[in-house]
Amino acid sequence: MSERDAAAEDVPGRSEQEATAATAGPTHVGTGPGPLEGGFDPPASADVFECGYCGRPFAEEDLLALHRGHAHSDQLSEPEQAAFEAAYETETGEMRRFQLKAAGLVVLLYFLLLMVYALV
Amino acid sequence: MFRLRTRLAGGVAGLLALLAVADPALAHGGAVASSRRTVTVPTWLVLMTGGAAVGASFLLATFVTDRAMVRAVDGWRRLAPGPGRLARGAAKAVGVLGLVAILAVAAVGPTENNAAVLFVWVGWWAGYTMTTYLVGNSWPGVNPWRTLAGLLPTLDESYPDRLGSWPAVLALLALIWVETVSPITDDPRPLAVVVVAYTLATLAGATVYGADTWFRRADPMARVFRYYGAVAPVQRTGDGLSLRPPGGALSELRVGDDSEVAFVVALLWATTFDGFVSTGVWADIAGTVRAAGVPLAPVYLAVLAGGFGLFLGGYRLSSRVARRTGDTYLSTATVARRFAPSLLAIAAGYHLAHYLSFLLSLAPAIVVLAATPLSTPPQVPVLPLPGWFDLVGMTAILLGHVLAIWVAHATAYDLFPGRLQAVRSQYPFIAVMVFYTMTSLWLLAQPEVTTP
Repeated sequence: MSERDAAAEDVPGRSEQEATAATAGPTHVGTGPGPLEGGFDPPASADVFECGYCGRPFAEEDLLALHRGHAHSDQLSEPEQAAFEAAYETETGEMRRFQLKAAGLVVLLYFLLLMVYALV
Repeated sequence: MFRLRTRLAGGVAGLLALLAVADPALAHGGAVASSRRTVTVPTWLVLMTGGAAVGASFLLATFVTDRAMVRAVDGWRRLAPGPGRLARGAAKAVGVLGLVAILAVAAVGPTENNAAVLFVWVGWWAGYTMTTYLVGNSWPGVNPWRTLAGLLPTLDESYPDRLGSWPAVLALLALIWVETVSPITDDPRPLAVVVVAYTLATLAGATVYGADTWFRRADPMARVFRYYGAVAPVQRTGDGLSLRPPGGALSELRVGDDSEVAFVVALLWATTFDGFVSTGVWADIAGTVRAAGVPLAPVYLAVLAGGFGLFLGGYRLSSRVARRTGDTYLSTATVARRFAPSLLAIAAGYHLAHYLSFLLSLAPAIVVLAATPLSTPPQVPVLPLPGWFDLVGMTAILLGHVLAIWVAHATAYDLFPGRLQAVRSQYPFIAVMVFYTMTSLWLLAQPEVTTP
């Protein structure tokens, strides 16, 4: 939370803006809500990989490794850093394949529509 | 509020017929209605193209996987000094005087072409609302009820937390229902009654629970404008105004609990409902129902409540599916809360599509009627809009959805550590958005009819 945002909270009679002005900006590091907000609901019978730094539960080890790398990058141990890099590498490959398919789909959509417009 | 549009435009155009101003075609079926139905592409193709455009926007958004870039786009801002004491005082004065003037004109003005009716529905509900999402939310400064509540003593009872924001949800739906079944969109006297009732309820609530609490939690209008305002580029902060990219502030809007999610969905449903009840499909249904001897007011209520339940249930369901496709242990409620702000961009785009032609065609009428509020003027001008104007509405719907896709994308990258995970978590929401784009384009393409 920046100082500016913190100041918004202290202004009396401005509570209508609080919702937009006073909340901390998103960090986009994939942390989501804190564990204390009760934002998580892991199923009882599934594997849970819990973050040792903040307690957030994850469904897969790779996701936990990615989370640690993004959210706790300054605290990582060496094996954790290695796990993060490996997971990131794997994910980059998967992402590439996905994007290739996405690009193909966009082109397909475009030509399908083009043909439909030509026929109608 | 197509229904409203038909009535108002019909009334004004009826007057026009006597005066034979402008295009004679205007006099038939209402000024707004006549400028529509000019799309030469078949409707199904328009719907398909719209759906494809939204789907393609999602696919293109998946190429933005750099978290720093998402953060940079969303976090961009420029600061400007806020309004001074004089401007704030002027805004308050305008608000209170406006309320008094509307009440007075609605109470004693002419019953035909009343300036207060036109001002409330065209000037305020259509025009002013547009400024809250296109420019910035000025309602906390203008809100006359807030100013009046500030003059009253307060009991400062603690607001019952278990009520959440449900009173605001119910009040919003109730206002929409009253708007559709009562004559307040063309008869000034009942409008005055509704405004007085709203004033009394609001001031009573603000006195009991304190103005800040009341307008933050229970008042529907303050929340409508606050939520729409989160889409806008100009945001108010503690020490001035900040300029953001449109929708940039949405990712910071805190939708706190289930009742606030319900309010966002209600806002989206309210405009959709207004569109639906002015279609030929609904006119047929309503005609059949009335022929069977069933009173229409409860039927409208049932459709309003049922459709709201359907929308809310659909959104909850997509949040549950997103939890699975996104492979996350975030609770369904958390996913629903975090993705809710993206719906506001859609609601804003749809509002603009519905009301822009209505506002522009009746804007000259507001000016003329405001000049002589207590007598029916000899001539009420209506701005004829060209046929291509339909495209503006469709563009607004598409832009709203594209903005929503970006907001959902940024939200997913805030929530999930995996890039592919973030993309997958959006699947159900994108499916719903594609479906909703097509629904709203269909509603927009329907010829407007006067329904029972």
